[in-house]
Amino acid sequence: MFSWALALRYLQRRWVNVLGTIGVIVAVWSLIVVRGVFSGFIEDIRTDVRRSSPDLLVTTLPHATSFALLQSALKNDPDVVALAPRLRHYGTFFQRTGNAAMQSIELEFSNVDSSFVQLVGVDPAREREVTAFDDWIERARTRSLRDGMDHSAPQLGPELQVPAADELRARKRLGLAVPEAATAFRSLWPGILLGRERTRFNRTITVGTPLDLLSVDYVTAKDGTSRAVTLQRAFAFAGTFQTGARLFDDSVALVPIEPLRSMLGHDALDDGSVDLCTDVAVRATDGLTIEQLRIVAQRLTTLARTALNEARPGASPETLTWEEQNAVFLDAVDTERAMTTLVLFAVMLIATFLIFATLHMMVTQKTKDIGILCALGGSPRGIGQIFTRCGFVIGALGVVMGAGLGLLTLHSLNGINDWLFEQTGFELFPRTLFDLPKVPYRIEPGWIVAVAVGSFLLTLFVAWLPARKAARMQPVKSLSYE
Amino acid sequence: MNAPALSAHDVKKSYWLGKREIPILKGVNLAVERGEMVALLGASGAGKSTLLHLLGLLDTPTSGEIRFDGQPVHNFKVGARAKLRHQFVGFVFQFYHLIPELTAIQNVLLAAMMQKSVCQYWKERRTTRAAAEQILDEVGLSQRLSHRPAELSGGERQRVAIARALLQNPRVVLADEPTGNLDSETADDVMQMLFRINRERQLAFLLVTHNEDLARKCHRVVRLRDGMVVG
Ligand SMILES: Nc1ncnc2c1ncn2[C@@H]1O[C@H](COP(=O)(O)OP(=O)(O)OP(=O)(O)O)[C@@H](O)[C@H]1O
Ligand SMILES: [Mg+2]
Repeated sequence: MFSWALALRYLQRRWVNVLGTIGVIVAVWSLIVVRGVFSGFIEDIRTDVRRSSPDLLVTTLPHATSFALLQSALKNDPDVVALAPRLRHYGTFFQRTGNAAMQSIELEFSNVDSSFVQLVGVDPAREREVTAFDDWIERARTRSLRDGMDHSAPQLGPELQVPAADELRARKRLGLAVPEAATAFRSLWPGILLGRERTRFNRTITVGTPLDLLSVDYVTAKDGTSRAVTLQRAFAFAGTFQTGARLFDDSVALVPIEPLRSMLGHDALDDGSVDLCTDVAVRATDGLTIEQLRIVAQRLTTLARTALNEARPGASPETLTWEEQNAVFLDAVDTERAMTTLVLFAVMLIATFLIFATLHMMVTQKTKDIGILCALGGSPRGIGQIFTRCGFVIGALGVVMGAGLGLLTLHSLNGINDWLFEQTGFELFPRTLFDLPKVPYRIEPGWIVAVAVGSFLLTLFVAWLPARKAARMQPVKSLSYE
Repeated sequence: MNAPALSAHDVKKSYWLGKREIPILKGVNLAVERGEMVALLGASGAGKSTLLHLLGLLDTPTSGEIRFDGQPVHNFKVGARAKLRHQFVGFVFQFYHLIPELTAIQNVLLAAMMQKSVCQYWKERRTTRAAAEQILDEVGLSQRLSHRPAELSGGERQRVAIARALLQNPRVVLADEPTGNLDSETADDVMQMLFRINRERQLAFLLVTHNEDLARKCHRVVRLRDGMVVG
């Protein structure tokens, strides 16, 4: 009993101990809030990444792989629902304006300040069976409308062509040759879709605006020598897309696959041309877990390898799940979260060290009291408990208040963010940077319990050290302590 | 049944300074009967405090026996010694040794808390408090219940310390120069009070003092000289 009475009385008379409590509050609070927001962001990012990627991607294919060949091999797998060819290549753009070509389509508001794009040739009809292709375009459209802009063509042909009227208007504006009778006009340029951020602040681009695509290919002559050739083709800006995965949206331009094949020397009308693809996007049975997807991936790799090696031995294709396709990015975010958590643990350690220091000081100050308590019949155990109970009170207060404040902060995060912005013009969490309507957060009960229990045990432990010292004091020495 | 309340049998105590043994007590034999008031005299450094600590089980003798009611208790374990000390012995020190954070009554009540759980104490809190108030009244401090030690005079502090020693109804009070720090008038008052308590409660006292006059008023005087008790 006396240990409780004295613990409370000692604490009440020593406001330094509030420091320890505050330390624990801050540490617990930040561990919960920062982690909560981070996890919210990660969850959002994972959703976006998931939306931008096919379930599975058969990749690392040999040069000039035929899609038809792989398709016939892969479609037999029971878990394959649909397949779509992808043809990746690299290039750069120039936007034609009335007088001079504009210096490429620059990203004005992005970390990727480059006019280079990764061209991804898709077969729209197949692509929408495999990925959320239509949703990508729809998302960009609704968001552009929200910004008071419309960079979208509602009707895209199978080659992503823009409506003939739009192309005709663009041609007229640029002074290009047009037929006498506008009704006779047919679109000539294949369409190209750009990530929304690329054109977000470009007021000169409209649907139908021609973009000159410049690229390079290696061709091998009959005598075995190879050389680089430059390729050029005009596309019509057909609108924007937005998967939500910034890395994908900022770097990719979606083009119809056939014109890209033609550019690379495999026009469908030529004899001996190959229906080129560099990857095959796969939609698997709905509802498969990531582990199940990995198993399907292994099967597809085997199927693809067999099919490819029949034609040309030595191929070693790979199949990546949507997670593996984005592994570098997802791992980076996870690592970032882990690092932040680690830093916050250091805050916790400092807080508990503070508690240790104050309690240790208290034991020294209270040496004489310890002697008196012994003389009154206090057991060493009871005397030690005075200090563990001080730790208990400090820890319990800190953890409960920290966790409470943390949860409260998470719940009113958006309110706080908005309020700060209104009052000071400063945004704690810049939502526009991430193009999110709200600051995402996620309350993970497991994490909160772990933080609370962990911090509490840590406090008890650091209180136990001075308590042990107090319990081991020789009563006679304590009584004569000066 | 007639064993002395507290006795020491050939008790030796040495301190070590490095490898050098410094014998302080060299075979002390002493008995304090129930209700007896014994004065312990001795030069400074003779080992009076050391003996008191040994008798109160705050320290362990190098050899020899301490007996409570004839039962040897000196080699009990730490926890058991604390419990015995709590029930059997009340300590009064020269420098009062009150807990500065607690008021007079809380300092006294503390003695009742030492071996009780929160529940036990809570159940008995009314009777305990009444007992504490009564004892403080007995030592003449009924008006000073909620004063902190810093707000009390030396004599008042010592009275609180005595009340604290008495609360658990010990068999023996071990008082180490209880008036050594008080002016003679206050010291007289405090001593009168101790004599009264001794009479009224039939409580045994072992009183360390330097004051021969005072010692003569006790039932018996023993002297500690050269590490032994004489006459
Ligand atoms: N922890 C210790 N280590 C070594 N020597 C000690 C220790 N404690 C006490 N002593 C020595 O033991 C001797 C007896 O000390 P004690 O305090 O019992 O004397 P005392 O008779 O109470 O004296 P006083 O009348 O001044 O209070 C002293 O010489 C002291 O130096
Ligand atoms: Mg002494």
